[in-house]
Amino acid sequence: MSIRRSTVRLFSTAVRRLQQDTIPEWKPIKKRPRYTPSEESLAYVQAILEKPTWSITELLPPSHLKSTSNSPPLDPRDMVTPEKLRHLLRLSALPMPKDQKEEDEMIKDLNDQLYFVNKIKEVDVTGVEPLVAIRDESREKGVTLEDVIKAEKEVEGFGPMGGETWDPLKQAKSKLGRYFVVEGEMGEGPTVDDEVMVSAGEVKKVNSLDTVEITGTGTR
Amino acid sequence: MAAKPVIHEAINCLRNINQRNGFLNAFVRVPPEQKVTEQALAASQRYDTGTPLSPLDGSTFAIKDNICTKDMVTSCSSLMLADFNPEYDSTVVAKLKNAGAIVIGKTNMDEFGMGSHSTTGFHGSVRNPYSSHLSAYSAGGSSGGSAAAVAGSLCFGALGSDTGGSVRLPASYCGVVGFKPSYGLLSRRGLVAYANSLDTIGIFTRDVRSAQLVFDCLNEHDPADPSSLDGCSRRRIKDYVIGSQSATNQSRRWDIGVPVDYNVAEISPPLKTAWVSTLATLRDLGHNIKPVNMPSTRHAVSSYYIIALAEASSNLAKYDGVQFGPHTAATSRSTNDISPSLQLVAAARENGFGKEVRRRILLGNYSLTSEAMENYFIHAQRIRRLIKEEFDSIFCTPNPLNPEPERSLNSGTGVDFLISPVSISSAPNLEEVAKADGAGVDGYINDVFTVPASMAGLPAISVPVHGNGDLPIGLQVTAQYGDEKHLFEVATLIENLLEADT
Repeated sequence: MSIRRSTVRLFSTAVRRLQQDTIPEWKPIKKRPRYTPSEESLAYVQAILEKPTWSITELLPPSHLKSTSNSPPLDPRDMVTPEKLRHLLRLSALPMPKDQKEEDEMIKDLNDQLYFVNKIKEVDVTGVEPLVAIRDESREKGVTLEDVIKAEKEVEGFGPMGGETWDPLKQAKSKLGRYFVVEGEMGEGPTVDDEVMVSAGEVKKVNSLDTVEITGTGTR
Repeated sequence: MAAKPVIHEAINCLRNINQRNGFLNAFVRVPPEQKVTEQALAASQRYDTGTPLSPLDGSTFAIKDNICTKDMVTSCSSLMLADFNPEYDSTVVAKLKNAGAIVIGKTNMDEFGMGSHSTTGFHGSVRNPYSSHLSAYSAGGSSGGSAAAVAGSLCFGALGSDTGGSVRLPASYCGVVGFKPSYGLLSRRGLVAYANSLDTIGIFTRDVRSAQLVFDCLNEHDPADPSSLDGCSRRRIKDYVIGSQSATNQSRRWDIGVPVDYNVAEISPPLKTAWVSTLATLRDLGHNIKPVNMPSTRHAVSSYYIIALAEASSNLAKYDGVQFGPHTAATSRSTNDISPSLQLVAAARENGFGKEVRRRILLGNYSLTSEAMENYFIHAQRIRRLIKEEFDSIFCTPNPLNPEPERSLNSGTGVDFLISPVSISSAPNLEEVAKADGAGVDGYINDVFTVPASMAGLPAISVPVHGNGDLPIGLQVTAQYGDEKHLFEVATLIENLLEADT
């Protein structure tokens, strides 16, 4: 890259000048309205917005300080029990509560969240098709095998890395050669949980470590 | 071509970062200054020789820390990804770089985008540039760092992500323009997923014109993003927008809708005044102001949280501490019928995820359990359809994505845009936020104005308006799907209601 002398000079003077500046505290650019709305228009809009139509605190559970909810409390059948909490924690691969206090907190949080989302049950959705994603429905037709083959061809070379070579092991904290390392007990075979952890790859054993081999660099 | 003072601007930004970022906590990572100045120098030379790469050549950009940047850590403000160094640039960042833009840093956010004040990440809270040393205000979230960086003149523009309002809310709190495009227009390749069916890349700038420039630079089909609309759909949308509104001159009278269901009791008096006087002024300028009913608004935020968190819990399932994140050594042995390997994963997720993220994963998984699936997740998706249909029924232009969009039921009776608040008030004090934060759902209700456009995939923009007070106030303009062109026109109109106060 060739840099013109004059540009370099300009650049270094700019740096020097700016470094010497004493900088005032940041001040936002002050702005003011260009127009004053007419009384008539103000009255017109105010009439539309005069009375609030509802209160967002209606969405809060009744136990909440700010709640103005007038719907009944959460149906006991929808409440989270300690068993249910444990089930959810296991599904989420999150640790179990350490003590009763933490368990109570978790259950309260979940029940609050459930009260909040249970508001949807007020809406009758009979016969309404679920909206799964925003997509161009004007061009929707059945997918044929040819479409799939064509799409596969188009996508080739557009892996997550755009066809570049990419090392999936690079981000891992613990590895051994070309293997991720997952510590476990001696003699423990690949269990269902191992499959949950690493979905692709063949499980092998190296000494006391369960290691997972990555088959091919493109494995995601 | 007039030379653009790109070097001067870049150096100003670097200086502002040095002086103000310590307080704002907007950037969590910046490249070496020399790298920035070298790029500015190269851009300046291109202007000198009349060969700038684009109108954005030499402009500095802040990138939210959930948008991948090659060789620059992309942490999502989560310990889980504290060392994640992407091997590639996200498509939007690559496009900015190709246009000559300079990446000047990565910005702070709520962990994985889960929050409304940019306080839940491991980098600590972002402070609103309008804060003083006496009282610190929320910058909004989850893209608070990007909003604060633009507002505080630490950069020219910024990228963020908007799932349910994460660009529009911080823009309104920080007094900048925050734009969420129609779903599927800007590529999300390289955006760390929160909720796939809702996530969009968003843009922060100080004026509407700049937001439009950035949008034009990024708005292109990306074959590497399956949710990106292809060229055929894009041409169809373009035909619709142009075909339906041929009279595109500045003196056009717009039909502007006021959604009365957004008029909630909690709206602060200054915000209400700003909303009313902006609409009244637009009426004086000859535009029609019409009240519209959108009853589904009341259930939008509840159904949003079901859908967003279900998708999030699924997206976050891959963080197990093996491929990414903190590696945890085996400590305990089988307890609670849980195998040692699941315990390892749980330990990594406990260390890697903050409290709010774990709370949201639990609810997300709840609504995906076999017994709750139909009553929660599917039910919420049905409400989502109702919300979209409600928007379609109030806009005078048909939704170009609909199977038979020619059929417009409301030509003549519908509206071109909706104008509403972005949030119930200007930025709250960070102390108040900290107090309320313990209560999870307390924060969820603040998304009530931004979530509907996300659910329907519509373009929406937050524009600063005069608020009489010290803190900025933003109003949101929402348009029919794909109608960015006219959205920018009306946003400019609102922007021009203000003039510099000298």
